Amino acid sequence: MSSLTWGQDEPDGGQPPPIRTCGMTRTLLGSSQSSQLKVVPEQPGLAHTTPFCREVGLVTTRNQRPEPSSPLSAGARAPDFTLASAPDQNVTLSELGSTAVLIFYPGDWSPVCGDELSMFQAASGLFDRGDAKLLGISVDSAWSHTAFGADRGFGFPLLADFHPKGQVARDYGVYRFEDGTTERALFVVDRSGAIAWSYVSPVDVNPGVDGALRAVEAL
Amino acid sequence: MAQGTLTVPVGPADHVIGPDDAPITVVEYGDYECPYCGQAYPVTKELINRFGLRLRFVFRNLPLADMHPHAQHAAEAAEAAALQDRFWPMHDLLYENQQNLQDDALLDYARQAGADAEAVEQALVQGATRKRVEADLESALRSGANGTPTFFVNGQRYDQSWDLQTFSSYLDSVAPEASQ
Repeated sequence: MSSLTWGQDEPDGGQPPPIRTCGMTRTLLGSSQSSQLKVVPEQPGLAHTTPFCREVGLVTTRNQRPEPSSPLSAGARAPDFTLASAPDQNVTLSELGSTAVLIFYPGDWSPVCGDELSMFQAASGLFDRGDAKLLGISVDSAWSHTAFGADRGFGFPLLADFHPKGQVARDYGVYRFEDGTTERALFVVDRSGAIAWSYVSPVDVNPGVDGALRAVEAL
Repeated sequence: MAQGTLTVPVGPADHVIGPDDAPITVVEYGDYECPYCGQAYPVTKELINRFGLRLRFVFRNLPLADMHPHAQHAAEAAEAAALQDRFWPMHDLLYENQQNLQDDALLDYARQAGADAEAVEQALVQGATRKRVEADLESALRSGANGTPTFFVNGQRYDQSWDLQTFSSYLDSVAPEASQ
């Protein structure tokens, strides 16, 4: 290396400096960029059952279904789903027969997601020991998932929450209406189909695998 | 336990630069084949230089073998050099030559680092240091390492940018120079 001052001359353009880890360059988002969905029901208590929601600061589409405004948490039933893991293959949560770790991530190919999933790949032996199956989930299509998974060498399925777009993410309360992707969220679902642990990370921060691993091992 | 907390404290088996009683301990989990770790390498050198006795710097292995085909052997070779007390020269050579980490190159670096290259080769063939590398990897995952490199400062994952200016400002805020 010719210089010991790498990093000092990075162009900042007035933005916070980028964070680099392998396969990624990302910039810390200001709080204004990580806005949360705000749903204000017309009548208290009816947010989950009435289509008459007023959304603050968001465009509401006509066919939008009523949504829970916060992620499901420990103790809740995990909504069952069947999603494509490949153009000709499906995975059904209730048919796994083991603990599941649902890894919701915003999108294929975005560097930070690749990095988060790489950590789960590196930890796959530890999750195997806990008899837990890893399932990545994003709104990308099965075709994109197939190419992305092959490129990164992931040994676990990536599920396409593609049509209706983000429906499973909506069921779990982690759909991001503002950009049409999902939160960076983790759910550990036990064999009985109950959520044992959940965590939503700031979308620009890779959460690591430690929390999910402890939750699996505590079952 | 909060996420992103170092689960295996720094101990006698670690590769350490700096005093045990330094007010700042930085643990890096790195991968010798990761280009970002390669970029972080001169930053860590400068931090060690700049912070002197205020900093204890520790390196642990986090080879992402599915992404980087030479990372595992490079880590094992560095640990084999460590058995001959030549860890840091080997660590430096690996980062300075991370474009060429084939097995025969690893042995050249071992030689340049002043280690017995035959012993390093034997270690690679027999997998003598594989468990050590795997233990580092597991401690990284259990601590919430979230990429390579991941840094822990006094036991907590550091999620800010690790460019020299940001990182050194942060470390200064952890332990101001005047406190020495």
